[in-house]
Amino acid sequence: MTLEEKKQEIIEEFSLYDEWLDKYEYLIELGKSLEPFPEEKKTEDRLIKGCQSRVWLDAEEREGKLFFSADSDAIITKGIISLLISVYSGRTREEIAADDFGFVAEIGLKENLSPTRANGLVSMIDTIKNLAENGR
Amino acid sequence: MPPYMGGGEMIETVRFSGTTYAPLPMKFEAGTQNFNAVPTLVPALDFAESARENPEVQAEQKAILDYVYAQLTQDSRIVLYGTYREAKIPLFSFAVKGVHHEDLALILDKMGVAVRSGQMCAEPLMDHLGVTGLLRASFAPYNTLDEAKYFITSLQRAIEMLQ
Repeated sequence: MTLEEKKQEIIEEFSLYDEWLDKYEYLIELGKSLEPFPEEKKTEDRLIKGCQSRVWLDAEEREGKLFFSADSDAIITKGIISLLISVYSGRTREEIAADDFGFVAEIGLKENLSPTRANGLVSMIDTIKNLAENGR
Repeated sequence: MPPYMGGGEMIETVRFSGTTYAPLPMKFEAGTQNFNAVPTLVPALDFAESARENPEVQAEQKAILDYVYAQLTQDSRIVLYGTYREAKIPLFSFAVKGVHHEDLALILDKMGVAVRSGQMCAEPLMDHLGVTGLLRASFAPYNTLDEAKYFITSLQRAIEMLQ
């Protein structure tokens, strides 16, 4: 699935739910289904700065593509990072760097978070972009 | 003394060659003053005083206190902090086992319940309690027992969603 197709899929999935509570339930499920993140990778340098709850993000490059893994101690945050990873994992650095992350605005996620959480979301996006542009 | 903060009405002239500030006290009063607090302070104090002396409000506050206290302490998933005394006001700081306080606050918000969440501006106390943060539900004189019941139902529903 291309980056555009994947983004479109998520926009459609979010539009299935009318209530934000149901969208959160979906995010919670995404958070619960995120692959386990090894304890030894929960290091200071993998922590995303600017998140109220702790979020670790790791990237590995294989065959020219970036693969992300992540964890958080809060489940909704975990759901949000899981959502971002599902879109951007397995893409090339160029693809990620050139993307405008506009689909996040399209699903209305930022507006439905608390201001501190919305800042955390921006930090997650910045970190993913940064990893794509500059490596670790 | 240089001003610590910039903002509206604290400036006299701004040029690339130099900036001059407005005369005192404006120089140190950047931005819009809290003018709406001036006329509302007295009515707010009147309201607080009348609420404190109103037997109906007192009875409702006591009912909320007893009800929420009972509900929070009988639920084994919830850890309530602080002591319960006759003089306690209906304000409850608590944590839910296995659930992050930020998650709960967000879900409760979507259910129409506003709670405080985080370190409560008391990081050393959080360290002492061994928690990363707490939730706090504070009931005001205008809150009703029905709203307290709605809070408890919402809290239980939110915990079930998150656990």
